[in-house]
Amino acid sequence: MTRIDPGRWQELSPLLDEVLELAGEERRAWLEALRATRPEAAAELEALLLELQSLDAAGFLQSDDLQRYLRVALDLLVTRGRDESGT
Amino acid sequence: MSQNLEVAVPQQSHQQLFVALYDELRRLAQRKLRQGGAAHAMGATTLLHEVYLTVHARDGVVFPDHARFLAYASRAMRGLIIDYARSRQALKRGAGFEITSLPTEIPEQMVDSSDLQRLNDAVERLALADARLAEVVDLKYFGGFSFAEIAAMWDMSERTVQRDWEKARIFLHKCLAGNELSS
Repeated sequence: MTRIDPGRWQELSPLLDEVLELAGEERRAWLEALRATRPEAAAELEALLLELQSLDAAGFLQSDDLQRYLRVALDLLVTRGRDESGT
Repeated sequence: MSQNLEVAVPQQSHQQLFVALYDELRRLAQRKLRQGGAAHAMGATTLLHEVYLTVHARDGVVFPDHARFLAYASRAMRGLIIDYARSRQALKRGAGFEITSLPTEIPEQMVDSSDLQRLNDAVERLALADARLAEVVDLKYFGGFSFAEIAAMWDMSERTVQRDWEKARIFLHKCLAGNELSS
């Protein structure tokens, strides 16, 4: 699996911007064109796009669990504040 | 005070501002409780807007713009959630506290503070690689803002924000899966 260090990310990020705007045949054609000149980058992008598909399917960072969690955290703030103020 | 006195925040004071925001979030949550409503009933987004208005009115100036403030405040929310997770984890380990005095309406899978800590670390790494993407994560995931709200804040298209979010999720997932090694 590809590793991404910050330098590599800077290189891939603008390419991701482009390819994420395309779908279907357009995306395939774009990747093929890139592969002709930068095969390594094209392969990495393909892997990242596949990964994004699996993240969407798995709902990664998309559930409302965090918002529920946040509400509980806010309650904790109130609890702590009360303790600190001695009331 | 109608004239625009907003000034840029000096770099060295960012940490202090972060602490002040965190503190203000807590104060506001307490105030809401005294007013008879649960703090959480208002939601993260409204809470952050109110904190902005409070800090702005009281201190006159703070942030160069509303959007910058909300990004910081959302980051403060992230810290708050991690703190909460740690506290709860400590209680679960059997410290002599009354555990039922703390809210428990949390999905079990989210309770693991080490998971949240890893997510936090991943967002920090993302911030080093691409600060804007990390801000999208804070605003969207920890601040509860919609794509449309973030787009309006930054004066950019909603589609651009969505794309940033997609990229951010890829980056974070690679961090969490241990597939990346940053220097």
